Amino acid sequence: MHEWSLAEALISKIEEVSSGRTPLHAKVSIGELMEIEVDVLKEALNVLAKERGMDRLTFTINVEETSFKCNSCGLEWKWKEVAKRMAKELEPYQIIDEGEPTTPFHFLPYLAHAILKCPKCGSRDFEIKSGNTAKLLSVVVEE
Amino acid sequence: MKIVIFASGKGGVGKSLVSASTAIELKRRGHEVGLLDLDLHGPTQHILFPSSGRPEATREGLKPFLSPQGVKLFSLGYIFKDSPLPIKGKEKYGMVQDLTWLLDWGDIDYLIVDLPPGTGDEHLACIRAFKTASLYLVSLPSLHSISVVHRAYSLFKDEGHNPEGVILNMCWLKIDGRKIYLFGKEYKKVMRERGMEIVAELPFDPLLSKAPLKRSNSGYWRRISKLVAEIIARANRS
Repeated sequence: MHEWSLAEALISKIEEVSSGRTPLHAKVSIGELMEIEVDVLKEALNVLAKERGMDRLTFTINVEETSFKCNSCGLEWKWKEVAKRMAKELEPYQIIDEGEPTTPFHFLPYLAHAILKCPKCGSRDFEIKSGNTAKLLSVVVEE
Repeated sequence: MKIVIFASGKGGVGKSLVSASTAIELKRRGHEVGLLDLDLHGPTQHILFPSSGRPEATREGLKPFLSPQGVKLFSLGYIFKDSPLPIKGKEKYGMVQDLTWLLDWGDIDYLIVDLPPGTGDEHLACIRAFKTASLYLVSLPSLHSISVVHRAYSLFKDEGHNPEGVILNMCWLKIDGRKIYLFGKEYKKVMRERGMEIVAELPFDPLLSKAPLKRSNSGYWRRISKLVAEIIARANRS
């Protein structure tokens, strides 16, 4: 479950930015493309925070919509508009996560550039405008 | 865990082969070794170490493949195979960062990092991620290759990451016991003038194209063994 390794990385980052102060609240943004299970991530964050002595730390997790813009023809599109029909094309690139075939974007969202193409002109030259990765947006610490 | 980065400003100098050979020799000496291919646009370690298996992951992260030689390996080529990956700018930074924390190497003594040619995002992201790594540059002994590699050398130095020195590859070819210097012998003088230490000089071995990772008693592998002894000695001193 990538949610646990992601939680581990986020908790380490929260520790780093808190610089010895007590973190109280952290805001996290997750790219829709990663197909992260928010409940599992939240549980992992809570367990790991307690393990590291951050008992009062709470979390807000937002899922950011994934959108793209083609640099060749200018088309803008959203992941949710193409996700269903892409399922078959993603199969050869799946990663086996604890026995279950999983989208490679779950681990490495930037691999979108190797797998996806503009739905209109077929170019691989596109930007991921939003919702591409996991970000720690802010941490509130005790003053 | 000791981290050893192989970089080069120039492509086609044999950096990936030197990285792979170093990993194999370290393993032969009894060390646990990981090899990370950070060439995002043109990964090759999956070609040197082929595997038909699918990448796997657990709660601890993405699992490296295990080569027949016992080296733990990861290359994006195992996932996207022959597809191009036209990733740009900050996304490259993001990909390198993702790979540095996502991979579960387990208990290894050495992590060998194979960087792509050039002096761009992957290089900067890599030295930020691996601050304590030893860095070696690989070059051909040709004057233009040394000139390009010197640019990479300067970049790393300016970023506070002093390279250990340069490994010169394909220096000579042995025919009937006679050494033919493929790019002349001027390289030693040029390296001195540029202030770059030569850590190793490797021969051109035509047999490597047939079986690149088959360890033998050839001049190439004897020199790799000597290079690895030097890498270990320097890593233990730092």
